[in-house]
Amino acid sequence: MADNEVMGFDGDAERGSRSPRGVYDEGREPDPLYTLANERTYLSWLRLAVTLLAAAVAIDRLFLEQPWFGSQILALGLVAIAFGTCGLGVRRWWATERALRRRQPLPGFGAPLLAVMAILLAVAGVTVLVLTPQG
Amino acid sequence: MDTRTGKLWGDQYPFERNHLQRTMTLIGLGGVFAVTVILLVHAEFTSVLGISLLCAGVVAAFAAVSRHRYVQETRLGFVILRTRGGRFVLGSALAVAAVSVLVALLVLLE
Repeated sequence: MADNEVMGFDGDAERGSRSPRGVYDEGREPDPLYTLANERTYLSWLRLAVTLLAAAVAIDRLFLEQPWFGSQILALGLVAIAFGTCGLGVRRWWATERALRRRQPLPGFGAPLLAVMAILLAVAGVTVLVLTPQG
Repeated sequence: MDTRTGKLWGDQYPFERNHLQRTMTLIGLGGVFAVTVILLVHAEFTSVLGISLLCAGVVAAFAAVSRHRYVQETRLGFVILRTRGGRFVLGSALAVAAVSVLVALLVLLE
């Protein structure tokens, strides 16, 4: 059992029977607790995406009586961010699972991504404020 | 490998949290889907809500059956983890993408 494993797990995966092949044809079977934790992280990304979609529906309904260009942009923007969030979650699950199987260091989250998110949120906020009808 | 319950995790199996989170996330996604469909097709609220609740019940039942299976497999030594793949991850991502398209349609068409 490796130093960083909580439970011993002997035996290799049944290759060829698991999808996606890009993940499961790599390396050896990791500690089950790590792959479960990886999936929970993905589920957190998924919940964020679901929450953003719910917010998009709420904004659409909020401005139903007085449709406004900015509200549509905001709702569609939230849908786009939800889409991206889900894609990012899958990408990170994929990369982490591969790294776990190959016994390599896990991929970092990266400050650049947070910075990009901060800039996008700031731009969205300014856009909403500028486009809001006055009076 | 010792997989007896009660040693490392008390009465909780390692995959319990995954099951709960999977179920809750899918029910949440189903809720957004149901609301979007109700608004999009102007369906009768009560009938769609009833069907949605039935579907949520089915998801919960699947979770219960799946949990039972995992417990059995865990007692045999995590056999199921050797065969579990990424189908749930990819399938749920596709489901979110489909609901995203529906929400976008709702915003654009209504």
